[in-house]
Order: sequence, then structure tokens, then C-alpha cells
Amino acid sequence: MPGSDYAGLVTRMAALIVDAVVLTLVVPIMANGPPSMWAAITGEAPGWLKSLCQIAAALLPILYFGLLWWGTGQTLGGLVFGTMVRRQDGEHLGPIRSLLRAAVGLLLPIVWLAGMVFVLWDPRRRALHDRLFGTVVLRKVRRV
Amino acid sequence: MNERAPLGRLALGATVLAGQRLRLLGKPVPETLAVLVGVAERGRDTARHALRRAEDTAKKARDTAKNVSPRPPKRVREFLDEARSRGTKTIRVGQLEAKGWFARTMDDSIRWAERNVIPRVVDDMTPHIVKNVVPKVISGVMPQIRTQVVPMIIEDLSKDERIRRLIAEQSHGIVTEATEELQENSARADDRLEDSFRKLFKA
Repeated sequence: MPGSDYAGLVTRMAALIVDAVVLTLVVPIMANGPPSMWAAITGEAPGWLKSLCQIAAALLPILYFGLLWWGTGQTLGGLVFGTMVRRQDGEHLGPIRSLLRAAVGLLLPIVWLAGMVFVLWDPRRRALHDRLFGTVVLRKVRRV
Repeated sequence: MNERAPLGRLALGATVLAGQRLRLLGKPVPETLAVLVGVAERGRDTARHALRRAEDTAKKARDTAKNVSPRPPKRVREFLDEARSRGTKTIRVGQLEAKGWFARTMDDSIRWAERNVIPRVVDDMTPHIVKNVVPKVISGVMPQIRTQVVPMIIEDLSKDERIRRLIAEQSHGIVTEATEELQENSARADDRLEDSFRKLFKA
């Protein structure tokens, strides 16, 4: 499907790598930053703060993907590569669908990545999880 | 005006011009001055032609006595009118001659200076200025420029909204261009990968 308005496998994987790099940098900061700052000030971070930060760090990827897909349809990787997630009718994703899509992708990454192969023959370049959640990944700018 | 002007009239014209430039004299020239000049000129003419007129003096004196004695005020008035007219004319001519003389003198002086003086002065002064003056000026001024002027210019430029906008636009343009190129490349890669996949499975 040359010249398609849907993002292909290379673009989607590249955007996913950008998001992974961002989260790799941010999640440890979220998990360890506040306790370290607390420890620097008072000497020892309380247990509840450490637990809270661990939970926030664990939830951060789901919130990152879910909220951005819901809000704009674009994560940072999507912004760089000009892709956006939409429903099959072109409308924005709702919050439940976005969070579920993110949760499935993060909890079952192998299935997620394996399902990306579907992009290669699907007419609308949909991956397995796109078929499951009724979504498509559109290319925002197409100058070629 | 081409013939050489009498020195006295030239001096008179120059004096009147100077007086008018310095606002000591009004325009036109005061009548008193014109009368004085006229009287003086007439006196000069009288003295100059005294010998020639000496023969007729007696006869003129008799005629004058006949004509003037009964009407002395009219004679005096005519004399003053003639003196004023003559003085005014003399002053005007003197002014014109002085103006012309000044203009010619200034033009000649400037031409002479341009031709003879200025080139020589420039030729003589340039090596001296380049060797001695300029290095001293630069060595004296450069520290001031470095410490005071350049930081001020940089600060002004950095605070200038137009410069900031220009830099922001350029940066934004570069980022946008790079992003668009990246997107085009990834789109081409998508197409190539799918083409290869289809060829592989068709074969």
C-alpha cells in the first residue's frame, strides 16, 4: 500500500522505540527521585513515599500511553514520526479504550509485538491490537 | 564686474556686508550712511577735479549765489538727495563687488588647497597615522570595546524581540524540516518493507 495514509511497521516501531526511551528515562526518576530528594534533606525517606513512588512509576507507562492516546492520539514517538491513533471511523479514542489498549500492550508486550506483523498485509495497516480495539494508526503528514 | 574693483569701494562693500551679517546694519542700508558715503564720494570727486574746476569757480559761484541765495533750503535738499542716491548706489555696487570678490577668492583658495595642500597633507599624514596613531587608538579603545561595548551590544541583541523571534523561527524551521524528513524516510521504509514482504510471499 504505497502512499497509504496509515502508518506502517517501520514508522510504528520507530515511534514505539522513542516512547520506550522516554519512559526508560522518566520511570526511574519517578521511582527514585522524590525519595532521594527526601533523603538528601532529612536523612531517610519514609516507606510510604518509596511505595507511592514505586506505584506511580509502575502506573506511569499506562497513564502515559492511555492519556496521550485519549487526549491527542499522539505520544512523543507519534509526534516525532507524525502518527496518531484513532478509532476506525476517524474519531478520537475514549479514555477506557485508550487505557485498555495501553494496559494490554504493556502487560502482554510479546503478544503486542507479534501482533504488529499484521500491519504488513492488513489493508489499513492494522496490528492485532488495532483489530482488537477497533483502532487505526494514521499518518499525520504525508508529503511524499 | 569683470574689471578690477576699486579697493576703497571693495572695502566699503565688505564692511557693509560684514555689518549686515553681524546684524549691526539693517537692510536696506540706513540713509544716513548712504548720505555720508555720497558726501564723501562727492568730496573726493570734488578734490580730484578741483584744479579743472578752479577756472569756473568764480563764474559758478556767481551763478550759485544768484540761484541759491534766494532758496537755500532747496539747494541743501537737492544736495542731500543727490548724496543719498549716490551713496546708496556706491554701497550697492560695493556690496556686489565684495560678494563677487569673496566668492572668487574662496573658490580659488579651495581649488588651490585641493590641488596643492590637501593631497600633500594626506600623503604625509597617512603613514604617520597608520604607524603611530591608529595602533595607539586601537590599543586604547579595544579593551573598552571588549569590556563595555560588546557585552552591551550582545545584551541588546539578546533582548531584541526581533532577533529572538528570528532565532526561534530558524530553530523551529530546522526542527520541523528534520522531523518532516524523518517522517518521509520512515514512510518510504514502510512502503519498501511491505513491498518486499508481498514479493516474498508471492514468490
